[in-house]
Amino acid sequence: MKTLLTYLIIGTVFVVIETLLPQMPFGKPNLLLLLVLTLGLKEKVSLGGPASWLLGCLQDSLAGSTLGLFGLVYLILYLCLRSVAGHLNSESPALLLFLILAGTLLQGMVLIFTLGFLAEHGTYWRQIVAALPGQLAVNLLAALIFLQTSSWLRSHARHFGRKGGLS
Amino acid sequence: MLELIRKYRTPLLVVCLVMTALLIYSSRLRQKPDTTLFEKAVLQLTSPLLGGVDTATRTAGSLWRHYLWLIDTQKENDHLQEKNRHLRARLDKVREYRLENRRLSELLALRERLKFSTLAARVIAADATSLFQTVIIDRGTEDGLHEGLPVVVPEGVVGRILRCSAHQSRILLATDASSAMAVLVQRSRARAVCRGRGQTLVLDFALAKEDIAVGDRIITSGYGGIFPKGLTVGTVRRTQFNDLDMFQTVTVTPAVNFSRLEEVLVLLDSQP
Repeated sequence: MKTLLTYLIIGTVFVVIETLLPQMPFGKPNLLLLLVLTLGLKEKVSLGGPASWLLGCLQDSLAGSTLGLFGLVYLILYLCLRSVAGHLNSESPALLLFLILAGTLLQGMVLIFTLGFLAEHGTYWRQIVAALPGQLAVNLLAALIFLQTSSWLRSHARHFGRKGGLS
Repeated sequence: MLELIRKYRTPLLVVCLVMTALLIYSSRLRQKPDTTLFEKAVLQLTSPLLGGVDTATRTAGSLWRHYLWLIDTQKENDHLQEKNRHLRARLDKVREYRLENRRLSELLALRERLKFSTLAARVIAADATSLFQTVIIDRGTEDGLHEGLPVVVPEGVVGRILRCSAHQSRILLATDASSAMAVLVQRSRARAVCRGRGQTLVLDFALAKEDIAVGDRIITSGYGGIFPKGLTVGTVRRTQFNDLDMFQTVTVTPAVNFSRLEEVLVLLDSQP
């Protein structure tokens, strides 16, 4: 429960950041996708499934017009990744970049399918396809920053831990 | 005689000197404007010296003030820089107030022009994704808003309220792909449905035989129960049709710059 709450708090922070970013020509970075991919690599279905669905719903509350759309999309993404996570080296930083590429493409496909076949309006697919290259670039950039920040935080945590141990 | 002169040499010399001085002085009193040769020579001779001394004094003073005696300079510099920052911030604020005042004046003029009761709101956030076109405003159900109310700015239609909470509402912009509104071509009165396409708008169900030309103004028709009649939607940018099609493809440039929305008006009782 504590882990789920932590993911939701981080998700809330990410989604608020996304709303505060202005509309850019290449699209906004999808920070929640990073979180869903992390869930897919690290967390079991009992936690990761509800967490990814809730994260999607969180995004739906501040984007689009239908609650549950991103919930469904993120859940599908999570389940796809979870099904192959056992064969992947989750410690490799390059893996996250590859997953971002694959995740963005898969997200676009699932969105097109969901909006085109399940919703009454089907003209979003043009925008999704047109925005895909820009979205890929922005998401990759966000992933690189995420990796850099997390490695910096890890090294500093180790450094402070050592210092604390000495004193 | 010589003995006498030698004896009183000093008093005589004094008297002569005084007399000479008096004579010269009295003669100079009568010829005031002229500069004597002596004066000229002295001035000529002393001028480089005076200049040099003056320059040296000024340089020394300057060195002292600017490079040596700097006790208050840092403090004064800090104070001035702080003051400069404050003034710049104030200037920016004044500029921002002036622009806001202009926008609000336009909004007020629109409010007076419209026959409906309206509520002004401020845009506080954009959509969390770049796929959908929604914005969040700082008014909600507590202010009398509910889902479906139309939102406008002086340039034209913005969209309609999609979700409402107590103090915030989300607006579905006219450019979102799920947005649709009944419209009229102002010149020919041709009817169509205007749909969003991300950054532009398109007219659906515009019959191929209808007279629609580039530059035509598109306004709301009043049908559909959300937008009142006559609000500007945009201008026709491109028309395209072939003989086999029943409908023509019309691309419309929105009248509103959706990337620069700051203040909007919500029409509270707009039912046509």
